Amino acid sequence: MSKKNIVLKSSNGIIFEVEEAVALQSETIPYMIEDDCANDTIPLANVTGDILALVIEYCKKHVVVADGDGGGSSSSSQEDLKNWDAQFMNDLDQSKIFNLLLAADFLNIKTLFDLTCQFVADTMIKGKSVEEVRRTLNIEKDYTSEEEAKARQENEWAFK
Amino acid sequence: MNLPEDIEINIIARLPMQSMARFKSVCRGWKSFTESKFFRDLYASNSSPTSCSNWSILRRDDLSTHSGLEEVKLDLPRQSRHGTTSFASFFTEIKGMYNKLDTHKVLACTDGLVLLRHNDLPLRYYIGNPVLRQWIQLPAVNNDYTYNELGLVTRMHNHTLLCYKVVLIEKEWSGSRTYRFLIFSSDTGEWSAKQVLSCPCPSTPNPVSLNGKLHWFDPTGRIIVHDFFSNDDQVRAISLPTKMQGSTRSSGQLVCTTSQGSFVLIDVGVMEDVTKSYNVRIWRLKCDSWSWEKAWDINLASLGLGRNCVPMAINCFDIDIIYLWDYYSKCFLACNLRTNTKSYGARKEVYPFKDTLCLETWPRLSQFVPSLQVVPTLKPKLI
Repeated sequence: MSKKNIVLKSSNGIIFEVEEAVALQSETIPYMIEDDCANDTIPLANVTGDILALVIEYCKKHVVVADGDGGGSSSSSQEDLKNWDAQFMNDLDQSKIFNLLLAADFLNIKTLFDLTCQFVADTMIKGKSVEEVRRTLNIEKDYTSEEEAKARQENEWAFK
Repeated sequence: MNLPEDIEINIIARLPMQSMARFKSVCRGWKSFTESKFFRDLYASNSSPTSCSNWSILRRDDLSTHSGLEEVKLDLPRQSRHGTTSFASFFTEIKGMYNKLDTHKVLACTDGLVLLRHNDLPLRYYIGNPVLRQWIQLPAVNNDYTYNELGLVTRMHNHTLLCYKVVLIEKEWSGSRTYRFLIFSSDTGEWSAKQVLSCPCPSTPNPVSLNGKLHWFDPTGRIIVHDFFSNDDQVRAISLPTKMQGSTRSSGQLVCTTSQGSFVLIDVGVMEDVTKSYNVRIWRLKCDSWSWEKAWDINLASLGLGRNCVPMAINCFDIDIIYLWDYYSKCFLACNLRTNTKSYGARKEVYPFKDTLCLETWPRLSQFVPSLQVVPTLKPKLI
């Protein structure tokens, strides 16, 4: 039995051919297949080639093997996946992480979205100062000094 | 590079409560959405049941004014998301507030809300959320210690507080077959009296608050339940499970607690002839049928826990996790009954628990689950 492949095209024109089960972890792609059934290639205008490569690497790792023997994923393989996820995220720089987050959001891959959000929360936000968070996320301070002092005072316990 | 706001919200909702409160200072947008109902729901849905590794307790000591919230750091289970939150700082802050306001006593906590009393006459009550540092003083009530505080009940809908009630119970029992309550309702902003029929005599209850109901153990060997949001004019008395071990004080101990949305009874039996350990049965009260369901029947010796480890409570999210007080090591510990993993808290050299307190009286511990629940302000009364 041959497996059906799906062809994805990144915004900068790089072509990836993946198994259907891999691509269908995205909840967006099925709609694009329906909309664009005449054409075999699915264009992803929001995702660049390097990021799409990461998404596909993630999806290949997480594809659920539903071959005959019916065995679901055992707890040890769950543990392996967790470790793999941690390593996968650790190898990325901030710009890649943000782009991956946007891609996971656009392609609607829930587990990848959760993973990246949690990683950003834990490593780039959690222990940081207010200033550092503004810098990391490029957020402009729109408080007046008095308002900021008030917001801080109201949550003084959280600054200790 | 900028992230869209909806993604930012998803990131913030995965932060520990302390970081989240700190980052209200980032910009106006973050402050306003972290205070929204949408965010509260998202936050609640992200906090998985296993996410509370630290155990926050309210310890009541009716003989002194020393009662307070405290946090016991226990790393169980490990993979928690919000588990790194430290509440120690805001507990210190409440203490600061005690000092400032002289003698305050923490009376009860439920759904992230805390009830405080100012001990000087006339008694004044405060209700608040220590995470949000919000405290509201309740209108004066005519209580010159003729009433005891019974507890705090809430009505929640989709993680949102709709109403709360503070319940006082008349201390002197005149022999009539009624309980007399004084109840403050946030809906009306007033105190009002209520009487319900009771059968037995009132005890010194240490009630457990759950879904608008208070549950307390009655000396005649029943669990008394009353829904303070109902119009019931009598209390419900539930017989203890059959084959109890701990229904008499000489042979064991009963602990009332909650877990996974149910009232839970820990029935602690002593089996002198078998082991030097406790036999623990954990019973869950099924709300629909008011019947008992046994969740655990286990001898603690099988987990390597001796008589020095006394059951105190069950994790409110996970019925497999039991908290114990170890009076040799003078520390709390958590034990997962299913996996037999244990986690020890810090040693408490000076702890007002007598070594055997847990055996002598009902443990006056309530679990405090921090929340982002805003306490509704009271509407000014129309004259």
